Amino acid sequence: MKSNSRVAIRKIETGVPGLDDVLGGGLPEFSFNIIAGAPGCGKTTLAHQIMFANATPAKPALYFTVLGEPAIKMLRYQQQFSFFDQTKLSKAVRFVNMSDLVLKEDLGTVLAEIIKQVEAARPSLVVVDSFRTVVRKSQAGGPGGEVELQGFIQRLALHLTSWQATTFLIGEYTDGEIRDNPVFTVADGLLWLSQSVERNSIVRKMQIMKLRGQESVPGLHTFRITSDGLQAFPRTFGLIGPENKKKGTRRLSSGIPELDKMLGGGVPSGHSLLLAGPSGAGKSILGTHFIGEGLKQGEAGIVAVFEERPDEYANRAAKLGLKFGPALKSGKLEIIYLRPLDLSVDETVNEVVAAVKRTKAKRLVIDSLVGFELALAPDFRTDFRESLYRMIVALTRLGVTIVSTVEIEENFTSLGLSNFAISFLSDDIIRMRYVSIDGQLRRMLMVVKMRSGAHSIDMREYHVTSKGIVIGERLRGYTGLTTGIPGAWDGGLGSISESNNGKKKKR
Amino acid sequence: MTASLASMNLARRLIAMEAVHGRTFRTNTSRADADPALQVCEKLRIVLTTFAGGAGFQALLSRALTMAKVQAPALAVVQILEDGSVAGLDKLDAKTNRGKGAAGAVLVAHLLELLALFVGESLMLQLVLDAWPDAPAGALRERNEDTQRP
Repeated sequence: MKSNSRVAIRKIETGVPGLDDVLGGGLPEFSFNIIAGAPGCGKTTLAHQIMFANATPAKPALYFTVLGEPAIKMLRYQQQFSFFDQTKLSKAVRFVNMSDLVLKEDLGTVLAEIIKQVEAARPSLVVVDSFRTVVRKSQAGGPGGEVELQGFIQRLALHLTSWQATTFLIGEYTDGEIRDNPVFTVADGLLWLSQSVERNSIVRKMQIMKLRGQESVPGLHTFRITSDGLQAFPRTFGLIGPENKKKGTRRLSSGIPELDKMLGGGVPSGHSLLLAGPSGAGKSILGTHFIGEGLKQGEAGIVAVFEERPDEYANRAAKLGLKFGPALKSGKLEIIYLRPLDLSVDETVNEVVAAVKRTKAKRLVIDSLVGFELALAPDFRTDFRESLYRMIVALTRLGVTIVSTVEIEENFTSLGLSNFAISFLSDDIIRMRYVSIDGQLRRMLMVVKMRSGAHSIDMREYHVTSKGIVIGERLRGYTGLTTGIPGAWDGGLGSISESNNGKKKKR
Repeated sequence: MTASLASMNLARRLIAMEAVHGRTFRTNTSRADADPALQVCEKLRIVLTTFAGGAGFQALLSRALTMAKVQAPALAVVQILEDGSVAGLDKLDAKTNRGKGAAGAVLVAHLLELLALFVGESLMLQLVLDAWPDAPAGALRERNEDTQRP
């Protein structure tokens, strides 16, 4: 068959932010779908959201309620969501209660009633909530029940598809019920919703377990339910097949000329730079310089903060002489404060990606990765490194240059790069640390890694001043600077003699 | 608890519409016993049963009757049947079921009030409009104007 003779399956927009990306563009028109999951995970809300997004008087929706949540209560709660459009009721959205029929009659009569209603209303969307009730009824009917149920589902699917309706059956199922389930066999699409409690946080996830005819994004995607309904956070961050900008085509100034020199001309564009150092080292200030310099050059920027509020961040920048107010007003700069405690990485990144797209940002500062991790629900912390990898890849593909800060517990015997073992995710690493010299706790920084091109290997002292970071001279005349407790450099003679079987010789 | 003036007004308007409809109906047919309040309950039953199920409507109307009986003791003879239909409304003493405080209107008003309580004013009106699709535009929505209790 020639490719151009294939039937084109129209995709229906779900009205759920992020879900169309997860589904691979939307829901296939005329498909027969199951929305499954445990009670309370958002199945009914999802169905309502899809229904209100699509129903029109010309293409109405029929919502059959079957012994699940009573219709009056359902509407009482559902109308609290912003997507609930009361003007659509009756003309575009119709609710039909089938509880009595299911209780009193057999599946054949139930099917006949659904068919009658469908033929009368000619809906483009049909929801049966909860379909599990129908299944239970068939199971109560003895050994022949399963065959009867399979026949019922098949005829229902056939009929609704023939009447050009996209169908959703809603049901409470547990993981163990997936196998050999006739309902799932017939379905074209299976959307599985789940929620779990991790310590004090609730984590909601969805999975497209089955979707005929199109490529959905595999895996578990987190979602949140707010007053606007569901919002999904695809693992791809909605960045499937976008531009893949070449890295390092230009250098971005850090805002500190001496540091730019150490970096071989600045931070390569599209790179992820890690600023690692102990508390008080000035990592956040360096990040602020980076954003401030971008604004000076007309480049939009995003700052994702976890440990302080946006106004506090802007006030701190102002003290360094960097006035962020106008840029914040014009939308050239966004300081995103991500509410702590139960975030998922995907949710966070989706917010950042949306801000990057909105502002066309070229620079992003994440301050800090430690705060980021703490803001996550415990369940997501175990996947932090993997999620971080996906985030950095996604953002740098957009051509954004990222500066992340990470706090390191200072160790005076060795030089750690990060507690997260995420150094490999970074193209470039600047290590900042305290060193004990002449009875003073002084600060030193070095460029540890740069993925493309040469960089300075100097260990430079720096100062945190009222104007920000000022880089001083190379620390000469010391040995063991990386340990934080250097000794006097003896011109290399000591080390030569030490290498000779560990025995010191006379000079 | 007494039904609000707004609910009473809406109930009276619906009953009045049914009375007009009933007169037309009676001139065309031999049926002469259609109580307007009963007809209102019946029309609401059809729409609300489709929407909320028979049991759902029956529960709602039973609660409405309990509250209405406090306000209109004459309703003591009225019963809600299993399918949600009303029995005995047409047997009310004509004296007590007349004028502004008509017992039938009190029952309907409480039903409308309960609906509004659960699904909100506009959804309740939408459901009423479903039952009276030919009602003059805006006539039913005037309920909002006065929410004081009588």
